[in-house]
Amino acid sequence: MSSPVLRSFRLSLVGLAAAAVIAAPARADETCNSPYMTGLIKGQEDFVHVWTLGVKGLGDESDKLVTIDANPGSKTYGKVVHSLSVGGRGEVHHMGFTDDRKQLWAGRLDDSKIFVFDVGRDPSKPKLVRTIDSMPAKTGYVGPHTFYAMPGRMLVQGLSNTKDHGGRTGMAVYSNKGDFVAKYDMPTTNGGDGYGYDIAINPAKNLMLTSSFTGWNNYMMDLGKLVADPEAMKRFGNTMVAWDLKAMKPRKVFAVPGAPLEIRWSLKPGDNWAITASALTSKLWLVKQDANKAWQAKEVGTIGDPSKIPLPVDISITADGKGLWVNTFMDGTTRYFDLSNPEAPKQTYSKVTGKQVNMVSQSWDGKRVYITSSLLANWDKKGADDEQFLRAFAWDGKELKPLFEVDFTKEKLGRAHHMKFTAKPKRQSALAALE
Amino acid sequence: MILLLRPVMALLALGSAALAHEVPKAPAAPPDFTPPAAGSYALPPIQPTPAGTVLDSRGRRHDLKAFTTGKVTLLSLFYAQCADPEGCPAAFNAMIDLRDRLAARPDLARRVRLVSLSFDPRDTPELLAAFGHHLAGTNLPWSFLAAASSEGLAAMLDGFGQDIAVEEEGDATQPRVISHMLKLFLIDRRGQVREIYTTAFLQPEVMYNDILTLLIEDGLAQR
Repeated sequence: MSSPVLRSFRLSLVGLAAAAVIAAPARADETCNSPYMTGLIKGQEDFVHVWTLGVKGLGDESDKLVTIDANPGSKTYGKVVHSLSVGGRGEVHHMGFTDDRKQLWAGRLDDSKIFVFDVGRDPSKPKLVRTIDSMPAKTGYVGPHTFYAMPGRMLVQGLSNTKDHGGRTGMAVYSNKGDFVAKYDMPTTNGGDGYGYDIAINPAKNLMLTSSFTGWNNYMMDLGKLVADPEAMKRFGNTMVAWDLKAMKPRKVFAVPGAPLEIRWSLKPGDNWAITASALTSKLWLVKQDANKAWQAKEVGTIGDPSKIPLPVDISITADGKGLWVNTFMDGTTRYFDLSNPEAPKQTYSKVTGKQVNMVSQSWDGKRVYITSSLLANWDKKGADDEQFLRAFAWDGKELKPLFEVDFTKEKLGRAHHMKFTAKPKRQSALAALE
Repeated sequence: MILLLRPVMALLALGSAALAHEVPKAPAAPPDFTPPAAGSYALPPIQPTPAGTVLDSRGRRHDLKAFTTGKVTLLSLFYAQCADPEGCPAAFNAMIDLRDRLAARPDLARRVRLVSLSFDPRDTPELLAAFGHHLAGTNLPWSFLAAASSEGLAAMLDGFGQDIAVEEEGDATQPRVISHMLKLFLIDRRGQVREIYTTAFLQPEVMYNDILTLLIEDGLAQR
């Protein structure tokens, strides 16, 4: 039987009959993405994309998205296979996928521009499809930091504001097409300091957690000058906030001194706790419900010797919620904490992985760990200590063993900051294949 | 819960002759939190619904707008052979739950509609009618629609932000899998998408409150 529907399709699909095989991400993922995101990579990642700060006098001097082949079965394994310059230098920082993992949003903290890359069709060759520069004008916020996928839209955490370039800021929501939807100020009452940094959502609890860092005046300042300025050093965030996700309203402010940064919910089914690291005080903090089901934040561990300010700058939780990688910038050390008891994390391994280390990302299976070097352009070390790299390691549960390294200075790329993984697409056809 | 609908989807895929069985009702799991009260929060407009031409279950052409304006609308995009428990069956389970909640409130039911729009050209009007026969039929309108053309479908999917593709890998003896991310769209009376639900947040109690929030916003319901 030929229905009107099918007849219509047959007529109109003629032009699509040659329907090319199109790209879509394989099902597979690392451990720190939004729970609203699809296409998790649970196997071997094929590419690592590094959001890279341009450096004056190095290569084309521009900020760029660098794509590195990470599949050991590839002829170009460990090599840069693509580099997409976006023009200018605006303090590039973090990235996040849209809910369908088709696009990668990436921000710059200085000029507040947001770049949207298509990584769905061919992740080996990301394509810049949109630039959004409206955030300061639309919201009064500066420094788009975290990009957190929500259904059909992107939640963007700011770090600063247009009025005084201090730490008071908020979150902006954009549709996946790049249209502004709404803004939400960080709370300044009931203990709130108005600062922002990271976002992490637990949909099952209708709970969103945010953390707090510092404003443009500080993150754009030379680090040596900053630490010598006691007034400036007072202007760091000391709070986390629990939000009613549906209502997008602050529910409770936690005192978490010393700039709590990345937040990770345990991904183990049934777990309902999150962990973060405070940069200036070098502590691990746990957020979970108490016996009365009230959400609480409490200090549960120390990272290195806090008196030496090792500066924990990034964390990566294992898929089973039983382990946590922590990078400390100042001593260039990558540390592993046993989280079997999240109330009492224990450091069980450490390795100096660079003269300065910032981001750490692991594969879903925990077998590969990637590390980059740059914190902020004006906070990175000087001279020979200013190494810039992506280093890949294998992890067998006992030792980090080098797999490959890309020297971002030698390759004239810039400062290596945030990483995201993609996988080659499965073979899929357009709708015409249904005929 | 979700698995209960899988056999139904298979039956539906076989055609109306196989539809003698009653559709099982899937109980909704209560959320592990207290949802905010309806009307106590805002749902900012996310995007407009796209324009397009659709066919109803009798093969008649309509402007999609007729199904996305004038009432608060919960719209799902689906295909009949979808058997992914986290895909279309999960959406139908949530919609059945909401159908029953709203049908019990005639004052609300007349201001709300459910719409299921197929993105599979193999889903014939007859099959859509079978869906309607088994899932609609209460005082709450539930329309089963298909796109009138592939170009129109592509434009509507792009407008909704719904990506689909046909899996080329897998068992050739099995029905082809259309890869898609489950999304349901809550649309206000003016055709603006106000919330999008994916698998991670299909909570009928919250969705009911969202529907009520839009009605309260328009003065058509009370807190």
